[in-house]
Amino acid sequence: MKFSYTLLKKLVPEIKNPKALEEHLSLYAFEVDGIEEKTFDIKLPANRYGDAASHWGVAQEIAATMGIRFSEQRAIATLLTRQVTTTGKQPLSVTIEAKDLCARYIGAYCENVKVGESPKWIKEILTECGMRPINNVVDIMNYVMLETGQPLHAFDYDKLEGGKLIVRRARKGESIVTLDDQEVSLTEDMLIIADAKRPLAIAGIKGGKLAEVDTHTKRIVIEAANFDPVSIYKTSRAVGILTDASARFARTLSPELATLGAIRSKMLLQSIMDLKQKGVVDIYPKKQAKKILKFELNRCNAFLGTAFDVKTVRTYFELLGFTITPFNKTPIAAGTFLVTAPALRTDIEHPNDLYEEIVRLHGFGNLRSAAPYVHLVPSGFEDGVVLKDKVRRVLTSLGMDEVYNHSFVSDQFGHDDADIRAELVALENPISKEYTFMRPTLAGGLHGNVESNSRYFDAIAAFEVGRVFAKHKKEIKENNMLGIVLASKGTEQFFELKGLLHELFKRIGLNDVTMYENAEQEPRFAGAYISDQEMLCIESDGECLGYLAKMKHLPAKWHGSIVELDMALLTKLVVAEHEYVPLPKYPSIVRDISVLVNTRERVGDIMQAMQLADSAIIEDVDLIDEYENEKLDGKRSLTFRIIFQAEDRTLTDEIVNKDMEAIVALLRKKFSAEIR
Amino acid sequence: MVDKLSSIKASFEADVQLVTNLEQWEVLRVKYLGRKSQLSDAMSLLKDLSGDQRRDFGKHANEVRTFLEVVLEDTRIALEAKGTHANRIDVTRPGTKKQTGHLHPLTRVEDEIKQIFLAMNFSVVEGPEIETEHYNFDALNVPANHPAREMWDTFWIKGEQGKQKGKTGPTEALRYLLRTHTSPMQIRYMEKNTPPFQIIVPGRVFRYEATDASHEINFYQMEGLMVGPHISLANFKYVIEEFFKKFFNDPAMQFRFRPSYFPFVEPGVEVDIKRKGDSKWLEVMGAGMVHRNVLKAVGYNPEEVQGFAFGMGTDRLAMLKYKIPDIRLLYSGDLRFIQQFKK
Repeated sequence: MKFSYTLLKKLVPEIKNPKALEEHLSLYAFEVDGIEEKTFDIKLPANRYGDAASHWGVAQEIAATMGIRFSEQRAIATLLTRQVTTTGKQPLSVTIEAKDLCARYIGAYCENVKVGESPKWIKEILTECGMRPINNVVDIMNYVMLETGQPLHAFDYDKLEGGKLIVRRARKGESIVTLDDQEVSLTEDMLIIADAKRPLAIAGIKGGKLAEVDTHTKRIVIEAANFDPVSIYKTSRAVGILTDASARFARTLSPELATLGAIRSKMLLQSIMDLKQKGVVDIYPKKQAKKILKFELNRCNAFLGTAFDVKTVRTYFELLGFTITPFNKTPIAAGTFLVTAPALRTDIEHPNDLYEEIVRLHGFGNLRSAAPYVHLVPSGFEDGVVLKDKVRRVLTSLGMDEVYNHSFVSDQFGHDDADIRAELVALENPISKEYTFMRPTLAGGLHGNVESNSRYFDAIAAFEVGRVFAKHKKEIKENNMLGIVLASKGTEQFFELKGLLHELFKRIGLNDVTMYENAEQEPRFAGAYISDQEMLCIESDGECLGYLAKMKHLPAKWHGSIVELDMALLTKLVVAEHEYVPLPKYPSIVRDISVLVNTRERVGDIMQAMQLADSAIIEDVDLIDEYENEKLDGKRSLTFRIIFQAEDRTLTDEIVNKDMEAIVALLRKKFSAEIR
Repeated sequence: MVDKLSSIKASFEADVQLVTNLEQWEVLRVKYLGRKSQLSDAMSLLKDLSGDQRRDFGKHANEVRTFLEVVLEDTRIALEAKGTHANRIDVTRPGTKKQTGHLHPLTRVEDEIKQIFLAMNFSVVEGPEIETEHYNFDALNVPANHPAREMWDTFWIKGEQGKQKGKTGPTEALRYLLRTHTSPMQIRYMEKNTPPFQIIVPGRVFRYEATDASHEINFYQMEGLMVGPHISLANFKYVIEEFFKKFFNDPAMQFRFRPSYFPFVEPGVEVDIKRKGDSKWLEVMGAGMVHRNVLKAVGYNPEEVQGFAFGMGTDRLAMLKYKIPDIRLLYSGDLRFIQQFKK
């Protein structure tokens, strides 16, 4: 909100210069967004519009935080207690129909108006506050708002049907043309000011053309009212009109503030335009109660961790214009007393609000720091966090780089699959087409990483840990996933990644993982990035953890593979402790065997068959060579290495040969293998 | 006997001169130190000797053995180094390139933050990225139709999930959104736990705003919450000062605490720091004492417990720490960027 340095300096002459004021305000009161010549842009907190969306309020704040009593403090307090209403026959009739949305309405009537230019000093202040001078009547309205914080509005009395103002909700089909010539359709929940027939203003937001004050205006009505903040906020957003008035009303003003607006405008209309009020109506059915709070110094000190004495806090309260009275005849010096906040301080509702005032005037910077006394309990990380950290360390130790991608995917995602589209979590207000849905998979991001980095690297090893989102039976599911890609220019990466995955599982303590082919279980959302003919499902303890697949649509000559794993399932399945396995006491025997089998046969099946062969001494089976060419005529050559090991004796060639024979027989029978 | 030893030594000295490669060296070693060597034979006679003789001969034999071992070792080293320049490696050659992977700078910063707070007895918990309006706003004392909501530019989730329609219209608190801050976890955690406790909550948050060098639509925050019967604002200052001094490794760091406004705290403060060499104050944190309405919303009695909460931008801290000029680099997936972070 814009403030005039000239006016603030006039109200608090102790202000040294704009730079000093900026520093002071930001340390003790409000953040200053910027200074431009004599304009101060102050970031007012939403709960301080009641008192501080005004030069008087900000001046009070500046003075108090400087430790000076604000010179106008008493005068303003006195103004607030003044009667507004005049007696006798009123030329203006005001009715509040929507009593729930309008706590107070003051209408003041003046005659012999001569609309013209306003004096230079008013124009200067308005300009400093970023407002355009219009004419003396409108300028005075605006100036008083800047001074007091109360939004005011002037109607041309002669344009009111029946000399009436009615505060009511709009009727179906009503509309209004605003002062800046916008036609606005009104709905039944919107509060308006109307005459006997037509809407004249959108209450608290914007005046209408119909009762506009113009150069021919002779008689005016000044409105100083109080409207419901929620109603004003909703209407202002619905019609898309934000004004200085709506900004204030939407953030809760005291109905008492209307007194200041009415009296101050009367004073200025008189002194500047020589206008006399002929009648004032003030409809204020439920007067705002005084806010009296019980203050207990010991509680205040316990909350803040301070050691303030009564004298200090009392000084702070008085500087702010709060009044102090004894509580139940207890001497004030005992530290328990009643505090009455000025009527305009709508933010003060509870003793905690008073503690804030005290520490602010004292200065947060002057508060001593104190180590807390706490019950020592073992602190730690959630299981999921621990595993995430572990996975990251293992993967980086295996040479992988970590990336963070955006949580969104484009409006093209799954465009050819209605089922997938239906499961995507869509944004109501996407910021661009590129970021329309929440990502249902990490594959898209990682695929993009390979593409963009392929310009600079010949090999890429990257992973991401992040959330993915999808709708499952209309419920939004959020899953933490781990995605890994290995890609390289010219070389196959699938088995690298498969091996890496096994190492990862061992390192995080996940035993019993199986990987198997199952084209039915194609990952739901990664389909566009992987080859479903070259894909493995990863399963442990009957749960599908994710998939490992060869990627497709990579840059020319690039090969890549990808894994996605559900971190929540991993967290559930990993075992925390290792168990010692005795070291082998006897030497092992290694045998290689080369076979020629039909290319249809799967290495996984052959190895599994060997593992399960009738032998108690097979320690490990591994594939060490694979060879395929045209001469082999639809067959391929596979070389396996088998390690034999017994726990209780040194193996002899004799024993191993016997088992090897069994294995050979098995391979011949099951896979029609030729032994080479 | 002693002559025997001398002749072994002499014969060895002659033989060793003739060795020109490692194979010959091995033959020599077996001949002189092997199980069937003359020395070994001589030693086996030792047990037949008595007293002084035995001691004398033993001593002598050991001397010869040591001599053979030393000469053999030197010979081996010389043979192995043969053919290389001046028998020595050029130690000034560059080392072989070794590389492990790289953690993302945000992970590194998050880790550091977590470790510092862990050491101060804080625990680490995480929460969902898609939140309800209730947890993100209402329970945090940011009611619907209040202008305070405008402090957070929000991405809303499309759809009817959870929306209740009745006479009073839709219950808006059940709308889903992308959390605009990690503060909803304050509520979620407090609903399930009883003070005293102290936690931090790292996580990804979202803001509906145009991206530029210092704004992203998704970024990271670190939330903190400490609640107990006597946790004061002075305690907050202590914990936060200790944290930042450790994080930036600057015990002489300067602090500035300014009044601020967040509906879920009161009083609200903004924390600025100035490190050694900084010319300007850097805004690093928003914080305050947990608002009584928030404590009430989770069923606590604000007369019995109190505490502080804070939130800071992990991205911002990473950018300050590593002098990263543009937040978008963090989400670019550019490995040339990621691979810079080694230490």
